[in-house]
Amino acid sequence: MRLKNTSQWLIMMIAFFIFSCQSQDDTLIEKDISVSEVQSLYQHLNTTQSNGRQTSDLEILWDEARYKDVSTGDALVFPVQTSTEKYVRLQGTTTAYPLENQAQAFAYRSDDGSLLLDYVQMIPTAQTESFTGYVSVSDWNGDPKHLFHYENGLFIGQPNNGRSEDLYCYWIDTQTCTVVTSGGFDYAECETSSTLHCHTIDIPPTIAPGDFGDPSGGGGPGSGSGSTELCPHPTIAGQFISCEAEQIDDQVLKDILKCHDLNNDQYIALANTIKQYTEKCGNKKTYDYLKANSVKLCFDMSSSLNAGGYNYGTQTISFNGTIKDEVFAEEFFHAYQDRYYGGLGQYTNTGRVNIEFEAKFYYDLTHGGVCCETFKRSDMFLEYFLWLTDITDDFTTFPTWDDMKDKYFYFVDQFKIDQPAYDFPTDPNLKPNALFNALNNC
Amino acid sequence: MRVPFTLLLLLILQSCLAQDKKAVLEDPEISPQIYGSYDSLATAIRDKTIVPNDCKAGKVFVKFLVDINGQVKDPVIAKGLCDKANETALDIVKTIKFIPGKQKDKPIESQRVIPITFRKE
Repeated sequence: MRLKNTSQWLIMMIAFFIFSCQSQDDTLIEKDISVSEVQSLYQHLNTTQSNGRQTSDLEILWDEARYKDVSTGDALVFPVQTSTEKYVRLQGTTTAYPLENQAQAFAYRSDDGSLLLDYVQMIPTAQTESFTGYVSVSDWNGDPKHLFHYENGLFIGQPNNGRSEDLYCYWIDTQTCTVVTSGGFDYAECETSSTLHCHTIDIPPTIAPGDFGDPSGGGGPGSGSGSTELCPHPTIAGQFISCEAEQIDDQVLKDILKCHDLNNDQYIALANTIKQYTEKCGNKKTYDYLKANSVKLCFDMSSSLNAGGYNYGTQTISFNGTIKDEVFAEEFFHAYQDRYYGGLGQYTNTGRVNIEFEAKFYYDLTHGGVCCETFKRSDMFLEYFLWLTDITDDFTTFPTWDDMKDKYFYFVDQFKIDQPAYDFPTDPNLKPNALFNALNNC
Repeated sequence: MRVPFTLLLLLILQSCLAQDKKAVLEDPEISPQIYGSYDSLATAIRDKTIVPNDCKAGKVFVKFLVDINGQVKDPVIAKGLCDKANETALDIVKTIKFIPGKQKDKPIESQRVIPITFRKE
């Protein structure tokens, strides 16, 4: 039986190659498509197309090609591998799946006999015995062609036969790690970048969020381990970690949270950052102060910021991409100052530098001599640092106003020279009382 | 009267936007960050940080520049203990690698001080 059009046989073909067992009879004497032919096409596409797969780090494993029999003749399926760690996740979900074994190159002949090379990307949405999720087919230049929906191995349909042209997207997250030796230890430095791939199609049927399933079953990497100590990784499907490690204590975040626009990873990072932050006496007092005064904050990401910021108009702490400890510490201290001083709106101009200096000064005082957030470039750096060692007895005590009053405003003014972004009029009457309140009895 | 009214609206809008931007206390740059943590550094150097008998225990503060590649440049003793401890502290700091400070996503040079704690055996 000859199927009516390319789309139909592709559905059958893809279903076939996804769910058929690996053993195929590759011993047919004559094939109407050869590996060398596909290699020539691949070279041609890579030299004539400006976008697409050739610019990524995908590598086709030519030696591992397998023949499939499809309606228009023979087809060749090639596994692909990447030099970097990659994950795939459906847009709008937080569950990422390792890309390994989820992507293939597919070469076949069209109805008119011309050779085509497609990229097939599986996008799991749940971990089930057989595949559940979507199969995206695009040409080698990256233009989407088809999207197929499967539930536990059953073909559900193509979600592009519907009413409107909505975007249906998935992300490829790439993690690149290098090893750095520092101070006697090796550290992995990893960076994650993401690329978005979209099909213009109808919204598919309701998609349940990623279900990790049972680590002792379902065919995931945890299969057969027999361990009752493993739990699904909170953000990477198919990976399992110690159940103890999986517990996320986000109560410290919930207690001060009004709203957020963070993904799952960022939310967990923020909860962990706050937990770590509150381990120090002074920090805990700032946190408890906000909690006791029922202050609730919003958290989001803002690429327009250099590092981070606190908006006292909306009581929002924003980060630029990554949640860093020192950025959180400074912005959270601003939130504390906002409440303590009865609103930072009164220091929009005069006194703004006092507020900024106090937050950084607090950070410098509470890090045991790892210094300095306040001065970074000018000659004032060493003078300021030595002053800190004097008023803190080498960072073993916290200073009183009497300890610092002779030079405090001198350094506030010097701070404006070192960091011109803070060049606002100094309020000579605004002492760092929020700082004293936080460090009292610490 | 229509033109002045439109201008007035624009001025109000501009003023609101400016006010909104002013309401953000922004950190203009990210400080350099040590790989791992200072706790892991303390563990790694534990065997090297025992002071000789003629030197008191305490902290040696080393000041240096973190360059745009995260390398330590020009380390000097900001506040020291004895020659032997100071020398050891400088040697240790030279092996440390940082993630450089950043301003507008571009790496920048920054001054830094870190303490190296020495103890009696």
